[in-house]
Amino acid sequence: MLEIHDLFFRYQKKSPFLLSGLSFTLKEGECIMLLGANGTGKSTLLGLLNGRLQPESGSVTLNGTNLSAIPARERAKWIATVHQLPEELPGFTVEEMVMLGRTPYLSRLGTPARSDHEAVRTTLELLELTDFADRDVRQLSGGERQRVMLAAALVRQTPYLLLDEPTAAADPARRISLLHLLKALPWKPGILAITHDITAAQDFADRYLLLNNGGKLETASALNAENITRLYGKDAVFFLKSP
Amino acid sequence: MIRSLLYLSAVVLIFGLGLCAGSFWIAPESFESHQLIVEMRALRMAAAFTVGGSLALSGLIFQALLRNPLAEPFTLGLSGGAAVGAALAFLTGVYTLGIAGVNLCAFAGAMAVLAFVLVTARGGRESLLLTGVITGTIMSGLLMFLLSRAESAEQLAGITWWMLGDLQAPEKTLLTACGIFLIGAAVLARFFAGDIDALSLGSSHAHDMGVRSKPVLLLMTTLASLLAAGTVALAGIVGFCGLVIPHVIRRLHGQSHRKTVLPAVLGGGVFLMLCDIVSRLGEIREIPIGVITALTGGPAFLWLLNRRKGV
Repeated sequence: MLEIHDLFFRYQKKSPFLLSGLSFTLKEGECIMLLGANGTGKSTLLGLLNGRLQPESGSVTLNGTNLSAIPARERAKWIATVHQLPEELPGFTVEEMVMLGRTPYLSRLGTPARSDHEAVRTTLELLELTDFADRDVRQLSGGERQRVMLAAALVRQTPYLLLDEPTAAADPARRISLLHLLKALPWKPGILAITHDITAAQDFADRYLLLNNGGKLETASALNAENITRLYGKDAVFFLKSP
Repeated sequence: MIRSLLYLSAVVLIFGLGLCAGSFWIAPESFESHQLIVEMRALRMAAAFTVGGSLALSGLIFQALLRNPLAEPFTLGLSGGAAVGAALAFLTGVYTLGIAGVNLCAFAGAMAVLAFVLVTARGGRESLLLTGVITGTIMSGLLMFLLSRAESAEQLAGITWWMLGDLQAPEKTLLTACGIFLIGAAVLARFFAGDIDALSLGSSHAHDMGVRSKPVLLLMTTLASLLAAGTVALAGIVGFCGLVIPHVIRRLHGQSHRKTVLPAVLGGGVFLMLCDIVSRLGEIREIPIGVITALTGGPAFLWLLNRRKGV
């Protein structure tokens, strides 16, 4: 269980808190969609959940152990994060890039083991990237690159997946198929995904976390005109699917 | 494995060629009658290999960590610090104690700049890069000032020649130390190759893959800088090798540092040994090694770059 308890965070000591008093849990097998307007701290929250950022007070725990007390390589075997696409990518091939996702499992001086190659092959197949395996990632489209980054996270088969707009660059058909794929992953990870796609969120989330401008978190079991208006303004209600 | 054997064969072959070639040719059967010259040439070949390998490995690490294809061993201003150290050695008369005195002053200058950059830079690779470049510019200004204070043509010529790189008289103890350090650095770089790969995507991605970004960045930056400073102490400033060879190696072996660390060391060594052989083919006076590295490596790199687009 990945748990945040009474968490406060700000980037600079004298500035107001970006996130204040946040508490929630992410369990294996559930899918939570995190929604909020730009600049409310959604990516920051992901950074706190994967241990890249440290809270000013409160705690982030993985199965009861404080995240900062878990060695980096061990933590990476439990939690994988898909960040927004980096502006520039080095010239790895797709296969090399996905193998990079296996870093915590790779021997430091040896070559990747058979199990690593097998995991990469399976993940490439899962994301329909097998035909691209030898291609330079810089030659791929934005949507294809995003699938590669997703593959680099899925290749570790971690119990928890944190996704920062994982389908933003995908076309509508691919977006739906990727979300279906995430929901049907055989090892049933707990998924926390940032999204601005209200319609897709309604189809795939088990529940919702709504991050307001004051850094307060609200839990919701359904999206409705009231909470969407509070989050984005009344124009955004247009994207809500009818119940 | 086959590629590594090819590189090692090239090292042995070119080392042998370096013993024979020079201002006059010495056939292998005449080695005994020219023992002193052959020994000097062997020492130069060993120094060229060590300097070339160190610069290429240093450049490979810097380009990945700084995520900048133009990064090279002296990007953090080390060459400026070294040049100021060497200039001070020439101006204060330390050079009369021998070339080792100059080179040790240069090493101290490079180390002082490295310490300054590491202490001053805050906030990751961009800060490191900018602090290094600005420090290098300050060192250039200081060097110009020192050059303007030179009192004799001998001092000026000494500084200029040193700045072009010089493998004529490598100091044996220093060469041994640099050689051993290169082996250790190559093993360490190979150990952290996966971490360097991950860091080349940025610190957020590296963190996600279980890499402790800050300590690894600091360790690898120090390692790459020490490699560069070692070459400065051994042979002055040899440019271009540390910029071009990593690109060539990546073209041949791909982006993963698991596959490129050893080829970079061997490829850089081979390249500089070849350059050294060319530099001493002139009958009257040697051409500075830095001139050869730029004139041969530059066009070769441009050809490679334009043969297949994108570095």
